Amino acid sequence: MKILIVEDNIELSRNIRSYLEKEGSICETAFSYNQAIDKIISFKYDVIILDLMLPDGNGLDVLKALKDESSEAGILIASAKNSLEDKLEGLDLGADDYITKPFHLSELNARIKAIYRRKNFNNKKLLECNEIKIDTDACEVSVSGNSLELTKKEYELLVYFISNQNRVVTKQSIAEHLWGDHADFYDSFDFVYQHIKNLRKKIILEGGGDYINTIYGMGYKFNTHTK
Amino acid sequence: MRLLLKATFFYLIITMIVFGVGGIMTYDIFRKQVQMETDRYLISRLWSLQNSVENGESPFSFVSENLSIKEVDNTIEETKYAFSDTLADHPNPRISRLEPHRKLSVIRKIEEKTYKVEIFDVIVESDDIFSGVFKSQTRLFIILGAVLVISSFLMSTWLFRPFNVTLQAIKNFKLYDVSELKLQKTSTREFKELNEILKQMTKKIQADYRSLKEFSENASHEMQTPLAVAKGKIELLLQSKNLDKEHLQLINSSYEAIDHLSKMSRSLSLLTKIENLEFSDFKKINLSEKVKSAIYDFQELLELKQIHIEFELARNVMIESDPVMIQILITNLFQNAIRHNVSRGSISVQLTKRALRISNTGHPLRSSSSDLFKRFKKDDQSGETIGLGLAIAKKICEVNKFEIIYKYEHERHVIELRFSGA
Repeated sequence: MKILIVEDNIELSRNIRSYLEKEGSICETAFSYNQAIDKIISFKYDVIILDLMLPDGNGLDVLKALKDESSEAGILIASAKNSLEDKLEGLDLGADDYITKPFHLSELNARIKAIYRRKNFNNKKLLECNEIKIDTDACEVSVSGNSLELTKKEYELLVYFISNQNRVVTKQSIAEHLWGDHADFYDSFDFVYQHIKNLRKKIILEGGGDYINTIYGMGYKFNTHTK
Repeated sequence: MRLLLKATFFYLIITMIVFGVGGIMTYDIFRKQVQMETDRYLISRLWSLQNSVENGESPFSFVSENLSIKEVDNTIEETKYAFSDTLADHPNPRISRLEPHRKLSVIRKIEEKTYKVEIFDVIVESDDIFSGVFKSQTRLFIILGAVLVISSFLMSTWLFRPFNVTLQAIKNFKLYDVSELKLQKTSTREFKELNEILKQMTKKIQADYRSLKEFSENASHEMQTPLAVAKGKIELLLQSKNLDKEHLQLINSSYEAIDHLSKMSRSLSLLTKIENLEFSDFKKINLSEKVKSAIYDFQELLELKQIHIEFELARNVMIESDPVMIQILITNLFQNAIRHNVSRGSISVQLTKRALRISNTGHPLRSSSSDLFKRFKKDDQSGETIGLGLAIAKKICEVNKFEIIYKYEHERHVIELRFSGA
């Protein structure tokens, strides 16, 4: 996957880059509006992460430029502004998703992958991980060919894990992924734990591996190397 | 007591003293005047007596109750008029009473003979003068008092109208209002000055408040980027291999602290946005539908916490507000009802045309219920929650002119919203 990160904060840009590069994605960075426009004209990207507030221009103008280029890149707006209008305007201009700063890198990663899947570059809407196969169009999961009945939250959880496989995913990011703003609960981590417990049980019951490891105090890891 | 009425009373007290002193003076002048007249009269009688005797009449033919003449030794010299007050019989012989009289006694030589003449005349009694003066002064005072009180009432409505308008304006003054203080024009210098000072003061206060608010808004906004950086770094650090339990513990604590901080600053900036009236897309909202969908949204969390929910929603309760703001309000109230619930507890939601009432089982508050809606006041100081949820709810209610009330009854926390416009 080829990704362009348009973000004026160097450290933030570096964070995103190192997280995504570990996935094997190729990342390029642009720190200003002009740099972004240069890169868009010169290269093709699968996904573009776009900050709206750039020192020399508005990120929404980058969106317009992309439209003019009739670019096929998936666009994820990452903005500190949590305003509905910006969100709607961005989505109107052809952005695929909108994430508010500060975000969890694992959440960003999952969103990028979702955009990538939806854009259907390789006609691959199938998410695979060892014996687990997920048809993201039909929201169907199978383990070694046996179909797996999951609740909506368990399904979302599994997709999130597989998107961030072999990474430590914090319980906060899971809670926010599952419940959004409603995750602001002191016992939401217990709910996360219950969902994970159920998901794990269901996968093992259908003959899948015990992939979900608990990382002490922090969160969980979907370890594909587990036997 | 009204200022003007108070002033009137003071004025009346002063007038009373003046009237008192004035009364004494009038009494004194009156008395002297009467005495002078009486004395003149006595003298004129003496003269007419003298004239008559000089014309050959017998002096003794004039003797009466109030005139006595005695012939005395010729060697005695003439004297000056000597007046004195004395008591004598009442001039009317049928009234046998002693009355105060004025007496002129003098020794005169008339036609080679020397007489001692004493002439009496009834004088006006001093208590008569006193009571006359007192009566007239009292009546005057009563009339003056009545006129003053009535006119002060009339004047206070007319004269003090600009002042009352100013008072009302100050009463309605809101710090976060953008509009200037509206005051009535007045020709009274004091009120003019007052209004001028008030206008300048409120303008300055509003400007200060605005810049302070801008600062806190900017601060909470600017904080998000470094927080995002720090959060990302920790997430990256987490991915490194060979982290032992101790490392993870350290990482976890700092991660949680940063997470808490970023949530806090997000809530604070939300609060400022509400205060700044940034949610102003007012339209008709079907509150019944909003509440229903919130119940649906929270269904899963309720089940996980094994909380039973019952609701009674009137259909199509419409209110006029910003949809985002109402969404936040309802979410906050539900979150609150779930968070401060007990295991296997219950929540009940009632929506009528006039009010939304959400009650939940829970332990009684340890802190004062008046602190409940304040920022960062939380009953549970464990630090897990931010303590801004109800402050945000309260602020939204203020902006929408809803009334929000908290009570604890039958071991349930009850929060009631009353819609004024409904």
